Amino acid sequence: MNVAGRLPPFLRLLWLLGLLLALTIALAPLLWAIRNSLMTLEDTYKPLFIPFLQFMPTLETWSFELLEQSELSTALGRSLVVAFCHLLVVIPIGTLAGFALGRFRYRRPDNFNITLWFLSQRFLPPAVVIIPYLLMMRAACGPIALPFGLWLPQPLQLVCVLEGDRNLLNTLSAITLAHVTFNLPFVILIMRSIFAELPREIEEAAKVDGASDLQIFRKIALPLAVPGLVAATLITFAFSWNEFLFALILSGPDSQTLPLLIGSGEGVRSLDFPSVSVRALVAILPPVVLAVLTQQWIVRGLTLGAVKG
Amino acid sequence: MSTAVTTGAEGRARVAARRPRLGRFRSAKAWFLLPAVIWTCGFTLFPLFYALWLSLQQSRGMGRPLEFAGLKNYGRLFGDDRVWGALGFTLGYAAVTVAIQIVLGLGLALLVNREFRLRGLVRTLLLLPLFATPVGLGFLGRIIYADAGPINVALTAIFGSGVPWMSNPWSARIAVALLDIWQWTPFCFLILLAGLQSIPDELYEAARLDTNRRFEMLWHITLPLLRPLIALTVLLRLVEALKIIDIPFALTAGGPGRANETFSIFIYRTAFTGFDIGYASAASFLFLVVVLVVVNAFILFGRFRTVWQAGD
Amino acid sequence: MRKAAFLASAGLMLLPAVGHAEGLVTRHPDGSIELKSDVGDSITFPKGTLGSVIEDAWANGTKPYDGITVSVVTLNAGPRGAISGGILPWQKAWEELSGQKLQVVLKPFNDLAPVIFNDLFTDTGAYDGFVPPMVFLGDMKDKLVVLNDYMCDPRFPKVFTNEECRISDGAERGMSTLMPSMQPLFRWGSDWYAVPWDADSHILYYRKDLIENPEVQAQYKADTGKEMRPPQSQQELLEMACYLNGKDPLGTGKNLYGVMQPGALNSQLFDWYKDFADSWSTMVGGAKDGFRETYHFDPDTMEPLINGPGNVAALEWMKQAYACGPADFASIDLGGHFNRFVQGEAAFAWSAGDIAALAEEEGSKIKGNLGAMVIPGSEEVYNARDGKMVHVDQPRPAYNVFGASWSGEVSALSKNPEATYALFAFLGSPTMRVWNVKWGFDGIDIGQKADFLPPNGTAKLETYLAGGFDKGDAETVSQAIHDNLAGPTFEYFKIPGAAEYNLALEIALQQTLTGQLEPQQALDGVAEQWRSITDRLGVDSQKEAYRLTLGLQ
Repeated sequence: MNVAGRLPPFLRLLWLLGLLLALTIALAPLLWAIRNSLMTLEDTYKPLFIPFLQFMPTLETWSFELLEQSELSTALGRSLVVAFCHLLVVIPIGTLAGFALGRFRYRRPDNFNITLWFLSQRFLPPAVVIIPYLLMMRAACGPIALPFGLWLPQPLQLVCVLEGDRNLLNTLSAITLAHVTFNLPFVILIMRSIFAELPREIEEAAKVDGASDLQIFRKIALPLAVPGLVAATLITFAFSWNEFLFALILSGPDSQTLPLLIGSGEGVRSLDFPSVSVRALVAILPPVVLAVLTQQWIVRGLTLGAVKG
Repeated sequence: MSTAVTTGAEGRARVAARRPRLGRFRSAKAWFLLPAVIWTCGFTLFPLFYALWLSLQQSRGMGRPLEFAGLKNYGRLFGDDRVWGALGFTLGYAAVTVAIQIVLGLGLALLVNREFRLRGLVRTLLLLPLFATPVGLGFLGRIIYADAGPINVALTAIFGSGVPWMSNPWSARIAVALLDIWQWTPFCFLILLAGLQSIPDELYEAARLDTNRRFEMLWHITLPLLRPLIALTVLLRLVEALKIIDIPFALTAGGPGRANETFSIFIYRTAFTGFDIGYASAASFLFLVVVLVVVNAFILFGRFRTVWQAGD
Repeated sequence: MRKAAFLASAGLMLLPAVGHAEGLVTRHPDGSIELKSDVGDSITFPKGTLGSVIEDAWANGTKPYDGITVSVVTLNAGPRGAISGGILPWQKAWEELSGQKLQVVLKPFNDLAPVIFNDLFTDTGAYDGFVPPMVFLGDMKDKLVVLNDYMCDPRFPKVFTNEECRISDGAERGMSTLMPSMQPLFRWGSDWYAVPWDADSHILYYRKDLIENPEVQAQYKADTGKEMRPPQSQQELLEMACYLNGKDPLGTGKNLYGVMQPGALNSQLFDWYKDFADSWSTMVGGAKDGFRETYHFDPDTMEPLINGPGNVAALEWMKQAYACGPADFASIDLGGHFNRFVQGEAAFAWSAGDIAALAEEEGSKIKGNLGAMVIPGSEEVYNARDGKMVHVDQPRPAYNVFGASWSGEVSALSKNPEATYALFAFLGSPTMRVWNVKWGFDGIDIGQKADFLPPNGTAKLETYLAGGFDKGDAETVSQAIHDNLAGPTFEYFKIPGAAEYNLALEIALQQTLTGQLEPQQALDGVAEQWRSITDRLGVDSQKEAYRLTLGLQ
């Protein structure tokens, strides 16, 4: 979109500089991580910067982490599973709710209060709900869950069946469930805003033609909201991908996710900078890949030309 | 006019005929919202009440059972300097970092919101910081801010000496804030960019009839249209920034001393190093109240309530 | 024909013995069992040392703990790092030996306490065993299995000698295996809760190529009129450190730092303080002259002693010492502290045996120049009877103020306590200790009698040399740690809430070092916090626990 056609040369230069500056700042720490990943541990303490000129790069940490050890790839796989499964749940539920709050008018409680209620789920510091979560996951599939079964969501019961009805500790499901719960408010809030801003004319026209709310949602609103949906998906994916605290407490030997692996780069001996850098770089890849694949959809919405005239 | 009305009535009749009678749940209003509501209730009510119960208990260490203490923990909160220090710092920190992030994010969105080659690539590259694991970022930060790290090397080259970032409370705070801003500006950028993209060109073309000045178009068209989205971004960021723990903890563990002790770090330490979970829970509810006040103040102050009230 | 059949059947009979030769565990005909680590070497347990359960099973060709899964959580430092490097190389061999499935869960250093706490507090029991630092013992003991009976049960790998096992009183046991000052560490009262493994003891390291260098000594004498020698008091240490700070006497091109100590949070800052502060405020055996003998609290009233004049003076000293070190001390964590000293950046450091091990590894710049000694005492000590600091001609070291000393503990929530104990006994056995001494990377610091070189212990120099130690360094370190542990026992702080008390101290220390608070002010704040922690946990029970750890009943 061009606000007013091409810029005069001076402004264009400023624009270019601004962009370059932003890119440099955005990428600098990552370049630093790349530098560390190509060095030995002792060298990382030294002020050396340019590979081949100032130090000999080595691939030993990369090959160790990726080839000789299966820790990293396993944790990567687990984080992917958690993030994608959680998206499968949180995006549909959240988008539906977002549409409802952005389009329908509620009374008692009104839209504002319902939205605030969802948002308020993010207010409590996570540390304090860890213990109840641990208890919930431990009791999840056992007899003690029966009285809760009345109001525990059906998905939990389904998960129990999938996990063979033992408790949910040391499973990726527990982490996934926690992530869905925490990211739901984001999706709802973002999608609510997106849907609320959509022009009404097409919808009105469709209603006049007799479309149901669901059809309006699926066929009209959703396609128009794709940029926002993609943005919400990326952000939510990132949140699940990087989540540390619940993964720490709810995980066992079989369910260590990637942030835990990165966080464990600090031993009593030393912060193993090359190793942490390699892991951090590997960790950044899947979200970036996802962003690259979906970036074409964060474009201007489909033309609203149908509304003209 | 009459045509519309007739069509409308016909349409409604057709719609009504198709839908089964469901009493209160006739409309989609309930069904669309129900899954989210059920999920949220199911997974957050128990933890909330449990945490509340915990806040009424006194913890006597890791191995021993809890003792009922009534409101003693809450009373203790009010006399504890640590609590108010952490709260004050967290509020200030959140306000400053979020303000900077919004401005920078908006700036970036405006920069990128034009046609040019490699636009997709640039957009993706600018998003990278968002995906960096905070824990890894904290560790990376330690080398970056170290005496022999790139920042100090650059500073020494320009000014003659570096800064011992972590050894001074204010420089440590700035160090943490810089990393925070680096990571979260793309969040604001992403949302605001999506918003900017949704503004139809026609509006600008229509406006071009009145003025050719870029700045006026920005001020009178773009920003007002973007206002709800900016509000949303500020709100989302604010709520998160108040709870921040990963970056300061990985970089400084809350130090030096208590300089970077955000409220979440205070709660985490109290709960899991001090094993004083009763007190930590009580502090969390204090925090909950504070956040509610802040959020409500923000919404009222910005007169966003009516904006959010809009349904159809 | 008959000969062939005989040979064949003889061969088949030998098969069980030979059959285990593939893989990592081999049972020899004399009953001894050899295990291969994944570092490439192996150790051999003579018959009778692995306990009857394991040995009988192997004699019969079965696996003693078949089908059992044991889950253990410990520090994550990788397969060649501290503590985890003591278990991981043996994981497969142990699994083959015992038939267990061993899950070693590794958690980051700062997150170990929350994970353990959550597990025990919610009675989740996800872990059968823990390998934590002993400082948590007071808090954890109610949910741990008492090991007294196991430790002398012939069914399990031997930890104590037969003579020691004849002593039934837990409080007296272990005196031949362990150094006297280490012995109380792993027990609470007369109940043993941990299998002795890592033996943290903090000593003073210095650069021989500086302090014992004639040229440097001459220059020092010329500049200051004093002798440069391994410091006999902390005041001397400070003078030498600050003299060397910023200089480059060896012409390396980089200026030295005087001291290289951690200053970051979560790096046991409280230990680096207590290491030397203790001799400013206490004098073991000095009570008759009016000096205090306890450090943290008054054992009669449970009143905190942390803000007494001795501690304040010690904190002043610490500020000066850190000022003669790197300016970014607040970002130096344990790893930075170890590595930078080993890279030759500083003249002095006080630390655990990890530095000794790291100094001998490839890449170390101080190998062969490592000096080690007991941390010297202070010339100024606080006398409680006279209520003031007095000058002492012969500074007395406080000897060992313990570090973490990671060791195996069995959870009371475990469904397989015996299998778990067998693992820890295996790791803590005398045979394994020889391997621990050899390989510094595993972080299992020396401290048991068998670890020292003669005349102090029974270790062989070859073991150290095989692990890459320089001969002189090995002798120096062995002597220093032995001397440290041979001194009178100092109180080890492990009462319930120890971590919380330490945290309050740690934060205040860092605030003082970074100039946010004055020493007296900071320590007064700590005393205040300690009082409220004690009140919350119960003054009487805390007093009882504290007196127990002091050996006063």
